[in-house]
Amino acid sequence: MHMGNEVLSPSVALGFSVASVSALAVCAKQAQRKLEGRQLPLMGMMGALVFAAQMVNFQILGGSSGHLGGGALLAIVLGPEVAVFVMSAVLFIQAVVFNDGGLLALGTNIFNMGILPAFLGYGCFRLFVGREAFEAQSAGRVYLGCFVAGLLGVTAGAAMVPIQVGLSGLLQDGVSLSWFLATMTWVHLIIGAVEGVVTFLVVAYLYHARADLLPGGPKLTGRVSVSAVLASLGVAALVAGCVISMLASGLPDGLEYVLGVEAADNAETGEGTDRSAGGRLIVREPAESSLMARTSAFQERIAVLPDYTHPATGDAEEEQPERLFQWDSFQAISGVTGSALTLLLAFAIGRLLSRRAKAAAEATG
Amino acid sequence: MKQPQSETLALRPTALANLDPRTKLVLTLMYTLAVVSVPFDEPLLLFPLAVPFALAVGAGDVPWGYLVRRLLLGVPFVILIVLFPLLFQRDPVTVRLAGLEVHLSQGAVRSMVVSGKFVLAFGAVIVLTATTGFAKICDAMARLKLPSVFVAAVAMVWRYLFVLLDEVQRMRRARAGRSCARMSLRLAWTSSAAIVGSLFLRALSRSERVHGAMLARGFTGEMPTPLPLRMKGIDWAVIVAGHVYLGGCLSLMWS
Repeated sequence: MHMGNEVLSPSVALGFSVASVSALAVCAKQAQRKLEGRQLPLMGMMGALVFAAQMVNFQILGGSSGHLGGGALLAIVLGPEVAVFVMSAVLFIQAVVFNDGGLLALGTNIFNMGILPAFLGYGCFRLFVGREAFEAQSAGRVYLGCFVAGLLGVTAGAAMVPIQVGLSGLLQDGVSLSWFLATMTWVHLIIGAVEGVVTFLVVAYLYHARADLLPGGPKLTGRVSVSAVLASLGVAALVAGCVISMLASGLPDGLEYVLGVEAADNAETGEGTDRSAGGRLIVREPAESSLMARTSAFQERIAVLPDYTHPATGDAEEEQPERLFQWDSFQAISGVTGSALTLLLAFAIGRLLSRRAKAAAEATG
Repeated sequence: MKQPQSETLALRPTALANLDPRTKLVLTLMYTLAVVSVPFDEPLLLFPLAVPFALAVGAGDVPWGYLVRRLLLGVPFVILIVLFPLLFQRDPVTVRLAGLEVHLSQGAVRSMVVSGKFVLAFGAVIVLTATTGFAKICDAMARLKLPSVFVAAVAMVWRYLFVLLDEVQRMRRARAGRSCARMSLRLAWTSSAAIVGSLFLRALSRSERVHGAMLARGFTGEMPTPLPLRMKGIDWAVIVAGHVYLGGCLSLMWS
């Protein structure tokens, strides 16, 4: 979910950069006070750790695998200020050297993948694991805290992406904000669930090895039943299914409505002036050429979700009453079924791939 | 683990590599801003911006194969943004180019602009790293008065990145050797978590050793900048020319 330069308008990119830089300045001061003199090598090592930890795969289904993002883990163990600082250094290196995300989008990426996961994740963790009486904490509470921290941190950051693209006015006509939002949230609920479980496993390991590192040292057995892990993953999948069902409700929500009005205004002013006269090269042409008509007819035929081919059926949307949620039980059921089918499909593909890989490995000896 | 190819490329004495890193960093930022500001319905405005990019690739002697390979790494981030307007935006437009009239969909035009922006903005950063090297970029940031704590943290991450990547490779190899790559799902997850966890502990104790070593060598809290950097006449000339050119491009967009 690193964002590129192209999906942001300069003003939105600069706005989020200002927000991130000011948050970073505060965090830097806090982190410096917290870590005293040893902060520099420690932060460097932790940043390198985030890179290295991403090399360790966690096998999910058959062949597919995920890895740790690290924001929630750093926030839980070292505190959110340090985590934000380390994550922003990591994101900077990723943007400059490894070409993950754009240079101008760096501030936005720091907001989505550093500040939000660290502070939201830390807040969630604290919600489940209170500040005092750590010895009394049960493993289940710590597990829930870590799981929710990873889940919400990642998902909230991902949900910001469509909003930022929408604010930039760069949502394409056919792609509604709710659709984009639902897709991003759905995918990242699964990724966030993995992040949550992995965060807990690492925290449990750290408790076993060096309990003094963890603030207060929560009492952990390091073992949470497999059924608890499976249950939480299942719940995440269910929620993801409900989100997917929102995908089917093509109504614009508040923000999109605002964006839509703005876009309409722009279109009007664009139409009014003769843009070819000002040295501009594109003119809107009212009549469709035959090539255009044929391609659009073809695209309409192959479109999976014809509701969203907004330009062709623009009137239908305006006739519908303005409601924030059009979300009936049928859609929820179909969404859940859909996500279950997706999981099954992913499982089948994973199995197939790993069997192939195994066969190939045996063949080569 | 060896460093990325950009570091070895940056060691060659090309015309761009001899420029001051501050010049290159500032110009890359301004250039990215100009590229991002190109309106989505004006594909031809990308051409004047492609000229300095081509010049930089030439002056930096960046190999084409390297450039294309690095660009391909970024494709997953933009592929949807390129495809969506192509599929969904079908308002017909006419592109007039030197007497020629081409009928296209608005989405096709926007896809072209997005792809062009992607190539130019990503390419600029690729050229920057392939002609500068990361240590010099950090140096330039420090001298441009960015917060020293941030610059130092970034430089530190870079310094120990490859050490820890080596470490994690060794741990993975050790696990694979002991498990013969056959593990139950549960063991796979807990052992992966153990790798990350012990990596964390090793990083922590390593950072304490490093800090002790730094103190022993007279570390006062400020990172020293060992390279003597001096803005030469050519640097000022490039900076001024670059800003005038980019300003011209921007005024073309806003006229």
